[in-house]
Amino acid sequence: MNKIAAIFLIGLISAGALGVYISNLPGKKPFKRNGHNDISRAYMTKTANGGKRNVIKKGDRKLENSSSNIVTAVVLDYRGFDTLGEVTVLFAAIAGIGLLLGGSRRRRIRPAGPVISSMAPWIAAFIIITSAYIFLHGHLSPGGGFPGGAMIAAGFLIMVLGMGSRAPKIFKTIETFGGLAFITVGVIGFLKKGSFLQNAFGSGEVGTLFGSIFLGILYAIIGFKVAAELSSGFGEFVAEEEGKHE
Amino acid sequence: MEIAGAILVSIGVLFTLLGALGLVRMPDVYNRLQAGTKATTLGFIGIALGVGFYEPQWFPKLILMVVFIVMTAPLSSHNLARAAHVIGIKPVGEVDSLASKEADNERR
Repeated sequence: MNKIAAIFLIGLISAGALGVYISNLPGKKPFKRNGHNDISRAYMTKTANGGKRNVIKKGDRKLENSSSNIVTAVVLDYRGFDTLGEVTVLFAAIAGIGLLLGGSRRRRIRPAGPVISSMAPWIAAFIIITSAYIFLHGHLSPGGGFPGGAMIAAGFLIMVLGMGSRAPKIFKTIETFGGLAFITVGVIGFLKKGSFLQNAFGSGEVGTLFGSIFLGILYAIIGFKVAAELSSGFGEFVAEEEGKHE
Repeated sequence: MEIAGAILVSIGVLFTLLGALGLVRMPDVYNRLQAGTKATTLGFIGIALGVGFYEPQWFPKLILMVVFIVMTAPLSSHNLARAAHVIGIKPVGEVDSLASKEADNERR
């Protein structure tokens, strides 16, 4: 019931934001001219050149978003609304897997041997630290919230399988608050700049960790949300098994 | 500097090739795991250090990658071998000392 209410709420908020967004679109312009897609070329040159003649370098300032990774600039800044939809689709997929397969696929997990169970915390710590690096450097290097979140989930999976610890129940709370935080960042952009999910935190120096706070915050939120989704999808299987066999 | 890097990368590539050859030539799961893990671990270490000689500013990251590979490759091969033993795959030779030890433990 909780999940259905959450899906309904997110859908409602997204529909409202979509309405505001569509009503604020500029007038009709031809999207294609001379066989080129002008919109994609405009955004590419805006990110790569920053409106100037030369390609942006490390240390440049006063750009629209100071991301040195063009994919992140497009995915989170210009196309952030679509990314919110992607995260919601992932949540719906995990919820569907839990609903359909959670009851039927009950198999006992053989406890891991001493070699694995003694090394599992070290491996998990290594993986989780690396994943934090990956989702914090999403605007500087390839990576970002989605692979970082998947790596956090892999670390928790190793801890659950290798050390026999229970999957914590906190993941669903983290997941809910991740979605709320994403929408909150979008609403802050709407209140301060007039458009949902617009960059309201300014942009600093290109090529530094805190140069683009907006993208960093969004990717951290996405990382935690994806990790919580994948981990709770696995946690449902384990929790039901332990309830059955103990 | 670059010559040392080239030598290290060549050693790494050679050991990776030997590991791949071992995967094809070895008779059963356990021997294949041995070939695929040991040789490719050394091959990866060679390639990573060689690349580190080419690009010295990548060296810390490459050292971290080597540490991670050295930590995880024996674990994964151990676990695969254990899983193969648990589901009852027999080694190719006459001796299965782990099975006889487990039988001894059950007899006591």
